[in-house]
Amino acid sequence: MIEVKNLSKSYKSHKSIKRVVQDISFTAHDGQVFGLLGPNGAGKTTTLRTIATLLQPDSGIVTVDGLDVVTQSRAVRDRIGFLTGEMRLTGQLTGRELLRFFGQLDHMAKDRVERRMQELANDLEMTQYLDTPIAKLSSGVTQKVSIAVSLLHEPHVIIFDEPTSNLDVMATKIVSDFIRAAKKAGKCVVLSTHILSDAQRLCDRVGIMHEGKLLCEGPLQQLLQEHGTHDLEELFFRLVQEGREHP
Amino acid sequence: MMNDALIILNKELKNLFKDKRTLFSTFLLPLVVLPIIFIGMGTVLSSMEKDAQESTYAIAIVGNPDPLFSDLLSAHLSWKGTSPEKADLTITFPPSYAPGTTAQVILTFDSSSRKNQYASQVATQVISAYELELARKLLSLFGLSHEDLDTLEVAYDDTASEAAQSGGSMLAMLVPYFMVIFLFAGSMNAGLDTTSGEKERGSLAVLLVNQVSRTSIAWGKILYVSVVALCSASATFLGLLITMYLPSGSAALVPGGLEGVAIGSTALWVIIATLLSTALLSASVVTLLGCIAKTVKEGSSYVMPLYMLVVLVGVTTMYMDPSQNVLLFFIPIVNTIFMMKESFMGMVVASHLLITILSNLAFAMVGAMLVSRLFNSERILQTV
Repeated sequence: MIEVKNLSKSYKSHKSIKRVVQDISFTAHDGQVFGLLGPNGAGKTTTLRTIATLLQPDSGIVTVDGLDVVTQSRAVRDRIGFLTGEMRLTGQLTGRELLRFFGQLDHMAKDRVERRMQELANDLEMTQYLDTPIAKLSSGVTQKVSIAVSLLHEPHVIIFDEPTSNLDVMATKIVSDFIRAAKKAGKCVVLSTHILSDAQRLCDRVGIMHEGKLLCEGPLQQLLQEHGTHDLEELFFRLVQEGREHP
Repeated sequence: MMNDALIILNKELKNLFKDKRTLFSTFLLPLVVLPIIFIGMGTVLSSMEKDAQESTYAIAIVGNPDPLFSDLLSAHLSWKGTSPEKADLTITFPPSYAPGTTAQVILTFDSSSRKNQYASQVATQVISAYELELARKLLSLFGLSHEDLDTLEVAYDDTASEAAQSGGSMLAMLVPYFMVIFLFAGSMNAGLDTTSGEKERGSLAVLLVNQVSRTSIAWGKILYVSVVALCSASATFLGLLITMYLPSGSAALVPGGLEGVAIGSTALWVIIATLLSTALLSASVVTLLGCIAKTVKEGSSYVMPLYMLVVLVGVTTMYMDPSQNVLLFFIPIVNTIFMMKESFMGMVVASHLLITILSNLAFAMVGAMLVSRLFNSERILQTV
């Protein structure tokens, strides 16, 4: 479970301070998919990177399974799998070599790495591609390898930042199927996306961000009823519009 | 920490050795480019020289019908007489010239033609020989020979080391320049790809979310870039050795060839130690700039001025002798070049070597600490 309480984060430059995340709070539960939605620049990636221990909050508390992301960062990293849509794996290493490398970085025993690699290759239907150099794989299979990398150490919490951006339809389906499977397995999944149709299909709870603020947060169906909207897209645009009119 | 750094190094090297294009630019290109340049140059130069020697030149001799002069010219050059308008070379004596009198001889030729340059050089030698012959005739009238005028003889006692005398000084001029250039060029590509390149590909964030400390990751990357830089410099050195031991390459590298040159084991160890410290320094600086940059393009704009500086240092120190000024050995790159010059000329000073290595390592450590600091800060992930 992830708990974010009053999280604020800003980026300081020589000339100014940009407040990217402003006092947001939400909870993502085990066995559910939490969708963090918002336009570009809303603060989604900063929030997810803070949860993933890559950034430190200016204020507020973020915990993963009760562990503080600042003071217990190494333990937190052991529990999370992090995948970003920006990631473009490339190079001459094969999927097998890459997974072994990340296994070493996670200080996993060799036999555990081999077992996990086989499990993931079977689950993601990529066994036949394990010994092909990454540079020669299609975008879909490369994305499967990326997923395998982020889940090799059997994390309980999965953080996917725009995992389907830049992917074709087939590769998008692979990611969607995997998120459903992770949810079924009782994992806590946090997904950031600007593709609202994906979010509507996959998420149990959503939080809509705009200009660093969390405009609403809660179970998807409950939010739709509360705001009298038919779907997530309508809800999203109404809230973002209201956010612009009443900043 | 080092074990984790070695995991990074191992992965990066494995990726490098499997990438044919990178292997070509890092190892094969430095290995073959110098032999190709020098052997090509040697072949072209010897072919041009042969052509110049075997050509028949149209030469006009004005104001000196003395057959002795034309015979001497024929002995050195294949030529045929012509008018000044059609001549490749015109040798003009003053209108009032008579053999034995003092006169200014004018050689008229087009200096943009290499063959005409050769003809003018031969004509100059012929004029000197003609002058000598005339002097002999004049001296014989007084019962003297030309040798009677040579009362002093100059002998040279060269105190340079054996290595320097046998062509080592020529190597000391060229080799350090090429090696430093290729060492730096090798670290540029690898250093930027493994830092700002990883930022652009989004793989750095994933690398940072694991159980390995960020300091280890920083060191792993610096070690990797050092290894690549060192391999690139070693390939350059090997290329130069190949050039040295091929006759046409050796002749182009140093006039007269380098048959007598041998690099001793001490010199070799000094070169290796110097290059190791320089590789570490170059790697830490390039990695630091790559970490500061948000993209490879931005990183290139930071590294290029530094590369130009290295080239400038290489060029300006090319014709300089190894310095006795100890302070220069504290300056990176300058110290590397001077240390290699000392090695090739067989005049290594232990204190210079010590200062060079310590200075390079000190600068490398400062760079590595800054890289480590960046890896431990949020700034490492900035891409916009």
